[in-house]
Amino acid sequence: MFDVAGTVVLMDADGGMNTSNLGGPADSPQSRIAFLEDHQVDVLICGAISRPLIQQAEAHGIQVQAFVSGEIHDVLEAFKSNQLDQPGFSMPGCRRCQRRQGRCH
Amino acid sequence: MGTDSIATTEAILESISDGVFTVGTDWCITSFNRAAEKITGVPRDEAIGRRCSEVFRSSMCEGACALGKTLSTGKPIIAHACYIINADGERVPASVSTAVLHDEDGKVIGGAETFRDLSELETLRKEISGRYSLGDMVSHSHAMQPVFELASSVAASDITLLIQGETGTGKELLARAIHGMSTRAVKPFIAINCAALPDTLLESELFGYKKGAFTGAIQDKPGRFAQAADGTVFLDEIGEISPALQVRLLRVLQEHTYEPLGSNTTVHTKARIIAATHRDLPARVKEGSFREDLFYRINVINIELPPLRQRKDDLSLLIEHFIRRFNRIHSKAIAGISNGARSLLMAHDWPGNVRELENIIERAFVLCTDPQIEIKHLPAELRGRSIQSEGSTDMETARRSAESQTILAALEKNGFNRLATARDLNIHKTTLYRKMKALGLHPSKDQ
Repeated sequence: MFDVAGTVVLMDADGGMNTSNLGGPADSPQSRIAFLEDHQVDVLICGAISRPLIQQAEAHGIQVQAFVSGEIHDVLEAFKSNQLDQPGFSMPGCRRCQRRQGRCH
Repeated sequence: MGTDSIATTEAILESISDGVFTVGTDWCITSFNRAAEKITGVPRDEAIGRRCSEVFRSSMCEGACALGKTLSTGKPIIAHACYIINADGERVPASVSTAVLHDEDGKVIGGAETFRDLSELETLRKEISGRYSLGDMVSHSHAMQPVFELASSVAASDITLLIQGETGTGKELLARAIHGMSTRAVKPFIAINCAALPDTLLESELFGYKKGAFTGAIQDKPGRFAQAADGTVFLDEIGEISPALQVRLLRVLQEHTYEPLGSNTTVHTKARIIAATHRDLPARVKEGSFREDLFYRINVINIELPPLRQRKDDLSLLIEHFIRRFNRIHSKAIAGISNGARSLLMAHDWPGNVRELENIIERAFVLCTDPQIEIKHLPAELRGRSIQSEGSTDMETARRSAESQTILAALEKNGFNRLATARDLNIHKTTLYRKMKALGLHPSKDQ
């Protein structure tokens, strides 16, 4: 769940990846968005995330691919090949079409 | 366990309102009851076989898994508070209990988790405490809840806001609260009242000037946008600015740039702009005195603050709030306000809104040497209302005042027993409760 996630994997345009500390569960959700903004993140791919946080991320110009399920490597490969809307990458209860719009509702 | 016994257990699990799911040792869900479907928004057929963290999505899944602890220690966890994110992306407050599942030989085969949706309880708790706050603003009025919710949800963004509301409704307080909740909270909050300064002065105040820009400009002076840096600029009464200044502001909003007076150098600003007005800006756009393009630039999100007369159920809360504050400021120990004085305040129409109430309470503090604020400490125009039966020109105000005074007197007479009061007034107790709510009366024995 992104709202309380401890780490984030940052991937640059060249495919380089590194894992960064996103704070603890007690840190404010806003600080997570601020972290993404500071690192000039364009797209956030995550599992569960609350709707207000999606709205905040989008208000900062960050595109959100929410309620995505799967191993990181598979998800990133699917993202690069524009295959993230395949049913295998949906969390249970979250329809594909909704997630493609960057939100689960 | 026999077939009948299994069927009975399943029937019980299906009938209860608590969500229940079980997992195997691989953390994949093996059963998922009807209530679990309802609370999480995940259909059973999609839940079964998936990892529980993908289905349950609780705030504990990240490093503090309750079921994980139970399986490693063998000890159940009872009613642990957390929240889950349902399929609609909503945060659902919940309490979680866990237990270990064993087979007939005592071997661990997984775990069971039961969870209760606490949304309704949480809502009730808020309603009972009846108090919400945002920055320095307090309210328990339903009229203010959308304002607080919208303000909270847009605080973290850089979106330009327009706050509309009558004078004294707390536009600057709201802007400060939004700034305080934003990532800019540690940066400056610069407020300027556009109606308080003549146009030329306002321009130099906002954008600053260079030495020699005009007579008396003996040195460079940074403007409010420069002072704000990447904080927030609050432009109060934006509806009052001239057409020429509207053009300059439009450029700031569109391009985030401006030039100080007397300078050819373009300055970039990262400040967030929150504007406010008591004017009907769409009407001013129609009549041509406010630029349409500027209106749409500042009206990205519009928050309308209701006048105090539409949230009179907040009066008692606000009175107590100001009494507490002025006790601190004036080092006094005023306990409260008399029922008579409260009744007069309830009957007032509050054209000056919360600021008018604040001023009246502060004035009473200066005059009051009694344990509580009495009618005699209120301004003459309010005191006159009790003598003149609230002024003969406003029937609604007169009726409210008369009702307030009658109910308060009856409550006092009956030792604040509401059932006895209703009997005494010859009305049903629910009518009494309804009227007290409508009139914003929350009296108690100690007042």
